[in-house]
Amino acid sequence: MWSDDDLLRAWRAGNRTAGDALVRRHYESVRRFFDLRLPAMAEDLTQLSFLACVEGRERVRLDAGFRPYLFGVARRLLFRQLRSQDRFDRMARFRTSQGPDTKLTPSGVVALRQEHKLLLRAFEAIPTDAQIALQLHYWEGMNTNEIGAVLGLSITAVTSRLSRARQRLRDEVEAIRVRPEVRASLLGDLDGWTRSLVPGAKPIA
Amino acid sequence: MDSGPQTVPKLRELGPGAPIGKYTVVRRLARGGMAEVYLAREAAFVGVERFVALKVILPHMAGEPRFLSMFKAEARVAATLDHPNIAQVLDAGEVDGEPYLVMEYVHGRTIQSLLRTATEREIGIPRGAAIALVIAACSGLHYAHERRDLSGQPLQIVHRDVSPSNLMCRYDGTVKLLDFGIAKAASQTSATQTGFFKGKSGYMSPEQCADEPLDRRSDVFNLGILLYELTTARKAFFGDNPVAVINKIANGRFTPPAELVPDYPAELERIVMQALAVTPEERFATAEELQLALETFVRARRLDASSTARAALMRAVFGDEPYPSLPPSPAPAAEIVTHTELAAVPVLLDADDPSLAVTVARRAPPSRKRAVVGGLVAVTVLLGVAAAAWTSRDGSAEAPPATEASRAPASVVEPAQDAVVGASADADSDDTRDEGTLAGPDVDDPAAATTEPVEATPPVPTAEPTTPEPARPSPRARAQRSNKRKKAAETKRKGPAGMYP
Repeated sequence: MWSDDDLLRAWRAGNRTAGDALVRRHYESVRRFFDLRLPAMAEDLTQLSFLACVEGRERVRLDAGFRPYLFGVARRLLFRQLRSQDRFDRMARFRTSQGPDTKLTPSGVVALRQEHKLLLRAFEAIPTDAQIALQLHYWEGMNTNEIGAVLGLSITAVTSRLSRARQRLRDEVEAIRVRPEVRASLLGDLDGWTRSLVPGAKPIA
Repeated sequence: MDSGPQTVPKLRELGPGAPIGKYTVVRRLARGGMAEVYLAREAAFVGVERFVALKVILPHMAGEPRFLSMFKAEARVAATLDHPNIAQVLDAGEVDGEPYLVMEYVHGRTIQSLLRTATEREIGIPRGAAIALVIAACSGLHYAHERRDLSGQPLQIVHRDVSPSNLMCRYDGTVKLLDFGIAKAASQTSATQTGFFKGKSGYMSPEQCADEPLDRRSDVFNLGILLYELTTARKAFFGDNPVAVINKIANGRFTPPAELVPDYPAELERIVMQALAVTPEERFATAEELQLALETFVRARRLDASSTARAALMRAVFGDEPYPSLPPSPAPAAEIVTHTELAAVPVLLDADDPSLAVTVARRAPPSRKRAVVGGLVAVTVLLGVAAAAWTSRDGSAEAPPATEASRAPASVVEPAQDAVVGASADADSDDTRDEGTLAGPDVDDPAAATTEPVEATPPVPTAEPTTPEPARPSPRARAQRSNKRKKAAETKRKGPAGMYP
């Protein structure tokens, strides 16, 4: 199978099939990235991320790899959207559809257990960059080098951020009002529960 | 009506005209994530007819045992409730193992639709009317909370999903609480199993967010959200995703109403805040307490919180909304047939009239059952026109004996126009509307509950039962004609009743 680098080179050389293959390979991951915070806009933001990659494919630094570049773009788009004031107005007023939202999870999560619900609530309560670091680590299987490329941080800083993020997550789990047995179960294997939120999450590199 | 064995269509194949027991589907009204609601016509004994709402499970949920049990639980719980502010469950049944519910038909809109439409049209909701909606919801909920079983033990019913989409306001201002689908009596085993999330995130109580046991105060919290949203036109709890919303609810993070509405009365804000207290002990203990607090506020402020105020609000937001009308069904229509009209056999000679043929052609029958109905209406037209022609020709009431086939209902004076209207109304029935609204006559409404056959003359589909017809036969004659008419229809119907594709 062609690596991301191979596909990117071919794409740069004008091979659109290679570009298409690259998009297909990472589409679900990027979609999942947005699903956690902005599920209603995840599809649009995913499309925008790839569009930005198409336009900027000549600027991608191959030493960091395509995936960190792609998630770096996605992260910038996420923050831009989170800063949008219009978003608040749309959420607060009754203009938008209010269909039943019985799904609490990122797309791809099949089983929603009490532990998962608690974990998602804790995820939501921690800062966005800590959330992203955990997502990239547990769900996308990125190493500290790759996460550093996404967040624009050194390896040391990433290690520190990951550690703090885990602690914040644990603190939130302990603070949320929930049945004690659910909390104990979650804290008993926080890493395992976090990984299990996304079936088929990539192994950590 | 139908006799003998009948191949009943599976619910997932429902289409206009599909018979489900004694109900005939007219059109789809609303579609949710788990079930659909249809407007249906119930034909009951001695020609009594009325509209009902038929709720059926969506195909993808039909194989879900937990959902099926929830659906049946709704029937069990709701069937015990009889209150003016609760949409009543009238019947329940099963087709091929798939259950359906038959509910009182509510001619109105959901509060969700009201809020959205009012926002989009920039129509302010008067405070009195807004509070009146909540007061009515309180009344219905308190009744449900207080229900006891036959041995006198409290059922401890909790609705669990009181939200703008489950509360309707009729165009006449009557408020109806819907969907006890996830309501649970304390005696039942928990249907809230691991991995099965219920409710809408913006309309949950903190106890629901924490998966804790619920009591009536959870519904009081939901009423508080309703009150907040109706009086501020803003969502109480919102966020980028459902989890964010749940966290806000659990932590009681919402903007105080007075920060959104400058002249928001302090007393009303206190009521809202108390209803939305995170700790159940700090809330109103019952829906009735909340209702009393609101009524006191309304009286003190001299606000108009009557059903008239609610009806005026509905009119202001949605305009005048006529309820659906249908062509008269065969059996009742026979009741207005006169001797003279039935005897108008020469009508058959007019069947070649091209102008009439056009009218008939618009009613292309997609099924046997519809063909029977359509045919009867068409013959009605022909009969009516011919009768008029016959009468005007020689002024005689005498006529050759009618054949069985010609004994169709004739709707007298100007039937051609009526029939065309009826045909178009029938065509409209194929038009499914995916809106969260249930529009139709209410069974409690005397006008809607009339059993008199109605000529399809929109926008007012009810006939005046007391209005004398020009040549009305005696009750005995009408009954005889009706029986003969029914027999003829049954003779014609071979095999299963038709179902529209």
